[in-house]
Amino acid sequence: MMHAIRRSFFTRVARLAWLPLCLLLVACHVDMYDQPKYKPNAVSNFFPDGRAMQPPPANTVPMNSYNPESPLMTGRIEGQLADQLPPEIKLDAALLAHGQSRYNAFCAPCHGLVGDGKGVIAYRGPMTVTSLHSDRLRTVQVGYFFDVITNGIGKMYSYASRIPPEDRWAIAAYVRALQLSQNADIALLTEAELQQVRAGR
Amino acid sequence: MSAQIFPRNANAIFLASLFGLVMLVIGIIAAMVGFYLSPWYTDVGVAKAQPVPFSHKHHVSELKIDCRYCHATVEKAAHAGFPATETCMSCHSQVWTNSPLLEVVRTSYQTGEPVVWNRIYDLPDFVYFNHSVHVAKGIGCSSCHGRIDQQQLAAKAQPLYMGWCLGCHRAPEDHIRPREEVFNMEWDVNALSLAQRQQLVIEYQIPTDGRLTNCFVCHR
Amino acid sequence: MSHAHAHSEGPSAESLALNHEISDARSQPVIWGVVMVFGVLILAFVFMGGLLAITAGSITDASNTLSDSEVTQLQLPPAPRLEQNPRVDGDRIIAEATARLESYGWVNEQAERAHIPIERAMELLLEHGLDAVK
Repeated sequence: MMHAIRRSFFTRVARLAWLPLCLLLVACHVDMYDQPKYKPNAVSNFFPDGRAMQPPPANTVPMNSYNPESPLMTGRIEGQLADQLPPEIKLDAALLAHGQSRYNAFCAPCHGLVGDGKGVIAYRGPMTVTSLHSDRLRTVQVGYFFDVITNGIGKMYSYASRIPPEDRWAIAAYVRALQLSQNADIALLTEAELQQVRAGR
Repeated sequence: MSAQIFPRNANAIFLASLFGLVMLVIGIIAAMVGFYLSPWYTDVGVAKAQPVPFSHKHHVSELKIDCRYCHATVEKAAHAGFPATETCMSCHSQVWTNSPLLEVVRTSYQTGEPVVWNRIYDLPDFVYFNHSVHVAKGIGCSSCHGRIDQQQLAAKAQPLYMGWCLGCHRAPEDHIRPREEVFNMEWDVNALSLAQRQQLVIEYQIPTDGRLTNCFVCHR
Repeated sequence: MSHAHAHSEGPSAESLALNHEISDARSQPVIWGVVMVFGVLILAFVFMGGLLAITAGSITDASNTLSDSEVTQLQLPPAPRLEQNPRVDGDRIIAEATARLESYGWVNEQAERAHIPIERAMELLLEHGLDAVK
């Protein structure tokens, strides 16, 4: 009787002896780890240039309500730099906050958080970077900033591939706020603020 | 009584070898599990050689460049966005223009041939992962990528086991931070109390009813 | 050495019989020598300490008449230089810019232009429109 019990226990354990073999499977990608599909930035054997992410063919635009001639996309109204935001963009606190975050990420390395052209990269370069606090840039149309971000200027490359048009407008609006913060007419300020200005705090 | 075929100690040898066999099997399993968890298999902390010895430490920690300057689509798309050669050249057309280390980048910019980098994080193809939602819900870069701002050559910071993903999906309050601090590499999760973090979970509308641990959230 | 020789009276008969010296060297002179060396050392320290205490403040280095900044200028190669610690420089630039963006102060007192915190500037911009800056 005792023998029978022990034998059935052993046979039951022995039947599960194949289970550790499953661990062999775990260690190699025989499953669907690598599927025949492309993920971003993958290498491709199919396309001749070896890229899975193909650049759009020349002279094509996305198929939606996209209008490459609109002020939103060009920063221009009838060929002239726009002196106001396009109708799609509404000037509000959210836009400025968004612009601030974009500006600090994309522009501040060179132009500096203050916009005085004294960013860390400008210091490190060393490079001469245009300050945003000049009379020329204070009086220029807001579309000018959009245009410069889109097309680049001088040594500055185009940021069109990294900053979508809506964000460029947000940055342009934030640049106006920066300019105001560094050159505010004291007529705009309250009496309490004036005292702080005089105290330099 | 016929002659003994086995010597007297055969019983002891038999028992010892039974014991040894069991220990061997346990040892093999333990070794395989250990290998599976070790950097030999997971690549955690193993820096890979790259065509250009790009240092995150230099660019992030010393030059203060925001993550998004190069990984520009991280807030909008599933993929964080790998910088185009043009991104490198927007600075290195001015800075370090003669460096032989950057010859690969300059050649790529002139010819349009992409620089082929070695991938650090390779998620299985049966896993769906979206950077933008994690960033929008207050999960910082360093939560998954570690202190990349202190690494010279990039290395994996997490083994990307499913259990590790689930750990956060079960208890997001252990890892969440304010949205403004997502790109702050030095942010410490404990800077906020647990109650404050739970408040963030509610504010960012992160489902806590178990939906986040459903299979189809990631395997779709 | 000579000291030890002066006291030695040649090998004993027993040593000669055995063909090797059986008596031990005298340790007393060695110990005395060591004590004297350290004693002189301590005396020298005390003497130098006393000397420095007496003359403290009355001795100055008259060979350098340049200011510290001029010395630095002479020692360093002309700018731009390699950064000693880029991280510190980066932190400083960010901290200065952040402080500037969070404070009030004059930019040009004659023209009545001030710099104000960026948060306030954003409010004012919303209030007065994009042309408030002109």
